[in-house]
Amino acid sequence: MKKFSIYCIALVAVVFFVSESFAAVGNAGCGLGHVIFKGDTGKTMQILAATTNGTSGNQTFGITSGTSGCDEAGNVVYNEKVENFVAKNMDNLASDMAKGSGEYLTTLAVLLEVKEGNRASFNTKLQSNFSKIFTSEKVTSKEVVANINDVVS
Amino acid sequence: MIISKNGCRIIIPAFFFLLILINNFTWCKKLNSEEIISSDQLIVKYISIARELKLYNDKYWHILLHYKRGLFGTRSLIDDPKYFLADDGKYNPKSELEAAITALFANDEAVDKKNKPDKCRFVARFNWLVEKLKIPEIELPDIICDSYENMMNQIKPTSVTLVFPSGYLDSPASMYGHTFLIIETEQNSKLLAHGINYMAHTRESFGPIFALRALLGSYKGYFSMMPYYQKVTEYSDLENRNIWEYKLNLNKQEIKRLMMHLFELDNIYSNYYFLDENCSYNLLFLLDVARSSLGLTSEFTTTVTPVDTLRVIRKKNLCDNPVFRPSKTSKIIYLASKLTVKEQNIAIKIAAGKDDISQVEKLNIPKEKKIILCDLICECLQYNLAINDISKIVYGKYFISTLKYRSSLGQHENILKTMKVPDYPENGHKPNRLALNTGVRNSEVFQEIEYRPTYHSLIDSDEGYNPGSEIVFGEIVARYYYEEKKIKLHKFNLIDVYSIPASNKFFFQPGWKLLTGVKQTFISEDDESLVAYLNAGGGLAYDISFLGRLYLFGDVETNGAKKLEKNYSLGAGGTFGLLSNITTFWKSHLYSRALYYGLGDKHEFVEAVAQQRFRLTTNSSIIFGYSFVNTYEKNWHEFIFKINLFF
Repeated sequence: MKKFSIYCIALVAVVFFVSESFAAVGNAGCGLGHVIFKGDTGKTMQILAATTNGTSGNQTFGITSGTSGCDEAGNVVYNEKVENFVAKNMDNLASDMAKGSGEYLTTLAVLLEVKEGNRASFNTKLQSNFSKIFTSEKVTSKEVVANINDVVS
Repeated sequence: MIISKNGCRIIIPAFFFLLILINNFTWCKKLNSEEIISSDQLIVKYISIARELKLYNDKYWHILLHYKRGLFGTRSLIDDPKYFLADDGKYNPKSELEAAITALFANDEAVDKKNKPDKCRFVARFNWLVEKLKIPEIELPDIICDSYENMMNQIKPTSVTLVFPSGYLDSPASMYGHTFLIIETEQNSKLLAHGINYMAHTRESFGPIFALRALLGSYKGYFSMMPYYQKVTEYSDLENRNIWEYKLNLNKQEIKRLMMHLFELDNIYSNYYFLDENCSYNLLFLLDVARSSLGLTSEFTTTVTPVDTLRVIRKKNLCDNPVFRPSKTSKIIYLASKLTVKEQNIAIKIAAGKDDISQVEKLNIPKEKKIILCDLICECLQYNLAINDISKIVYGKYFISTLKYRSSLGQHENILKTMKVPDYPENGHKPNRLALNTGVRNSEVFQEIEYRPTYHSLIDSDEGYNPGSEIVFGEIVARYYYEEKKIKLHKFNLIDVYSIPASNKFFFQPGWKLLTGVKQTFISEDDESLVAYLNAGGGLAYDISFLGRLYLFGDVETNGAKKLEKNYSLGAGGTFGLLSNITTFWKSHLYSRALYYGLGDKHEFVEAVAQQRFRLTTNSSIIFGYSFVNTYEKNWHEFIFKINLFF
């Protein structure tokens, strides 16, 4: 008997589930469950001060604000995407790539789903093709990602 | 009516089918009406069980709702009314629990569908209730709450780490450091971990106002989430703070409970109090929810500093030794130490855009050295850009050309891995200091007692602290002169902060100091009096090998007292000092100060001080001190012996 009521409710719930999953999750602000990715693409080599909202080293009595950003629709972009990681960490990534090792390079490999057994050759390949990836100081993160794809494929 | 034989075979089953259909509908209706009665009955049933078990007094219920027992009864530290289901939920654990049970069985139609139904928010609370009241699944209303599940599917947490960026003197809010959590995911890279941060939300950028409002709890504190790499850049590269990562040994179930509670706290505020209900303290609730046996939040009754919380998580065996992530300035100093002076100077020139990488290419040095040199140039370039010493264009040009050259040098074991890890922050001396002293001043013997509630002095052991830093608030010194036979307030240090960083060829870091309070000072040849004082100064310091840290400061001081001529005096002068770590247990501080008070009560003040501190244990030390003062044309000599206890 209970099963019928469950069936009735489930039918109703499925309708809500479907509509819920297409709506933006959460409220308008950026709270938990929202990893922030500004929709920046093609940014040129970022100066450290502009990539974060932290205080600069010289500012006396500065306070690091705890706010975080979201894109306009408040959409959740949960899975780390290569482009966003490259855009936000371009300098440190370039540095690691030139060295052929480092945390940022490893993170790139993880995002590109390079298996652990293939990481060594991945690192070497990118290092020896450094100039093809970071072509000049004006290179944009979008170009870097495209160049990396060209090199590894 | 004549029914054909064939017709019977169709019509009769059809008739029965119709009957069954009608019955089903009536059953559905019956069940619905039974349902409504049922949920009320269930509510009554479980509230009564809860009362029997006195669940509203359960320790875990109090942790989930952040209840604290105080002088005026129990209240929740959370101030956002959205967190409570009962109107008096903030002050009444019993009514909050019963409101929770009611909400658990609430018919979904009764809830405004535009907002998230309560049960979808309060996952931790309801999970706990179901477990404690042993509510079978079949009795629970069927509600699909996907936002929490979505979060878990996207984060896929595997571990939790507590992160401590060390103290940063140039910002009052950051003097004591900061703590936040990172949630590592199945993607095996720490930089991609999700940072969980509790902070006061404000756009205030003027330090003293922020400090005052934060002390009074006039900001709202929220939890927020951001990628760890963002925090690494902010703390390590921009603010030049070392970062310590303490990986917690929480198991899968515990991590799940932590995430459930974190989800409950989304967009919920508590008033942010700098001294006690601050970033570090609020994180502890998440850990207590994960593992209720910890009792971290009940370890603290008054103030909480980030390092206090590190001590407590180590005491409770929640983690092992931390991983050290050096700041950019630490990295630069270390890389430079591996190179000759000539090589360092080449690095400085290139990082300033005054020379190019060909200077390195043509050097006749081993490849390993060239690699270190390139690494140093890049770190310096980034530092110079961060402090606006070079333009973005210059930075880009030299950064790329250096990296291009570096990539041609191949791979090599990262030299930074051999960097010596400093003493762990939690292993330093504790913040409170009590000193029992004996001394003699110009043949007058005295006993003295000092109490300092926080935090660290220049003469204390630097283990776990920033060298050249002093942070003292509210220190009291009382003296008893045997001849006078009375106890006098000798000094009350309201604020006593020194920042004496070392400058070098790579960094120009000016120091500063700010002191204020009341102190006994000479106001004539024979008389001393309690005066209010305010001293501010700035200067430079350099580390000289074999000697220590040499500093030179300019001073401005004003004193106020009725006994002073015109009730005040204003003077300027300088201080010259040397801080030396002679051995691991012996530190020396020598300084001399001269102040010329040209306004108000005109007089001169010259002093020379020598302090020798010997460490006995991490939390005890002795000091031999001598000071010479010449003021109002009289000399004063004071010898003092101090026994310090830290707790």
